[in-house]
Amino acid sequence: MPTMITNLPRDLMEDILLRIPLKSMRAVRLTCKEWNNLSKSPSFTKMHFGKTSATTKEGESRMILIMKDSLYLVSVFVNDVDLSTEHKGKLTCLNEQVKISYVFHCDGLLLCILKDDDNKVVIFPHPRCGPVDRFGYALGYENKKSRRNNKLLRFIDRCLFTYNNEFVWYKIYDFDSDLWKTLEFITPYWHIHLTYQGYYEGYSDHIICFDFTREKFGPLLRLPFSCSLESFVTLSCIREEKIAALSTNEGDPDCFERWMTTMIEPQKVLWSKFLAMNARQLDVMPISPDFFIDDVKNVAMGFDVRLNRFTVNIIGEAGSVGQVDLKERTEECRYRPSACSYVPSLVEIKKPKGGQRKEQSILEKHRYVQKLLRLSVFKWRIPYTVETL
Amino acid sequence: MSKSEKKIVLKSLDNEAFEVEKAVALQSQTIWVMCEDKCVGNEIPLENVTGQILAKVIDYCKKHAVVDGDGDESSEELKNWDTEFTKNMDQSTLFNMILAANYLNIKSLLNLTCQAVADKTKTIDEFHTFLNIENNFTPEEEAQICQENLWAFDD
Repeated sequence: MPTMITNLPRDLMEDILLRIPLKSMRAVRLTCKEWNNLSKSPSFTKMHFGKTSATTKEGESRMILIMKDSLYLVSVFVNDVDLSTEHKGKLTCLNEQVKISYVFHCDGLLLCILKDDDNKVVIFPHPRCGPVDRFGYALGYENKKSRRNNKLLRFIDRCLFTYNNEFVWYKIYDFDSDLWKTLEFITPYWHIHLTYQGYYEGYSDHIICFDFTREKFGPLLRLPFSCSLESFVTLSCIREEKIAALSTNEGDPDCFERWMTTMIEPQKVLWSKFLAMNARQLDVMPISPDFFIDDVKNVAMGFDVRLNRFTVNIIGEAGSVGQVDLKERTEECRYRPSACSYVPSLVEIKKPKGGQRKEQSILEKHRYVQKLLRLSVFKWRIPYTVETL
Repeated sequence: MSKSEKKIVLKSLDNEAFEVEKAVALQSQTIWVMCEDKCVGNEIPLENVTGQILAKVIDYCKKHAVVDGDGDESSEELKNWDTEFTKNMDQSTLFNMILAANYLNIKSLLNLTCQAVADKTKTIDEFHTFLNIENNFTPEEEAQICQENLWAFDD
């Protein structure tokens, strides 16, 4: 009579299940009732998480990447001897093939913007513009007594040529109450552009903090360097604790500076210079709109598309550390790929009761219709529209 | 110390006797405790392990005792040996090895065998066939779990 897994005592069976990688968890849950229940129990989740996801190897950084409309989890290893990457998984939906165009990350949660037929993009005559009828998003949270309540900010904040021709729409979604709320009295800061856990790049040499507890913006905060319209500034976050900024030097566009925050408060941000380099001395250019810093390894990583490859550029104090290939690019991609650093967490999103979404209030519905009407008028004025992404 | 004191006899469930070096056998915490307590003579009966499995456990212990002793072999070689060791084991043998490692309290062997089972199973079909587990969901329950796990990181 052969011995089977069911002959093992429960603790040994659990020991085996704890070793099964996260990406096989769906299969574990669909195996049988007992395993489904076990894998969902808080104690199991916690131990499994500790064993499989939270532990990073030496020199390992996790990255979320969008390549060819798919989202990947990739580990980049920077060791003294070599550089390498490891494919950790691809985000898939059971029932259908989905295309993902953007991703936002906060506290282990990923917000994916799906590519669909209605997604139109506008080429907007402003040097720092993005698509106009696409909303901007930011994930954040409010600290409640024992846990975090996640919130989602969805916004459009644009003006066309003149300030009296603007459109501002800020909505916030509260995961706890399952309700949307249009923010009425928000001070608009035109061209709010880059989103990261509630921090926005305002006018190119300032950032601004969105307070998810009070649901409003703080004051404009100056960046530690000056920049002109030609200079290149981009922000990223480090383990959800710090912000890093990459900028070109105003006087010399080949010089790059990397800054890191030493203190972050909604009212005040302090910075220190992390490294400066001259791109002319480097084999690879550090330019990448999406980059992140591993402050333990003291390197910066940028995700890039070069020729027909997706690559990760790694820059250290002494200049370029190297470049790692990720994937071949087979089709022309008109829009830049996106990437962010990833810190896994056990955060759970509250699901609506009975799987039904809550009905929004009459006032909120009214506001929604009004804003939508104004948006359609605003869009109609935009000169160039490009169909589909 | 005389030669006989350095050797120990392990007796399996089916009365198969294995004479091994004490250093080899003492990797089992269970045997170590038994010897410490002097509750056994030179022959130790192991009532939960068959001869076929015990032989494999002893192979493992011999390999690891040698390495710990003279350090001739690199940890890389040992790792490769471990991989080869579990590679061709069928599932029944693997589970028996897990039970034996648990009973004999050999942590590294328990680790190795549990990991081997986990590594051999990835898909739902593998869970059902390799681990011999029955799908006991109703179609409705299965659909609900699919819905709950709609999004996941896959290969």
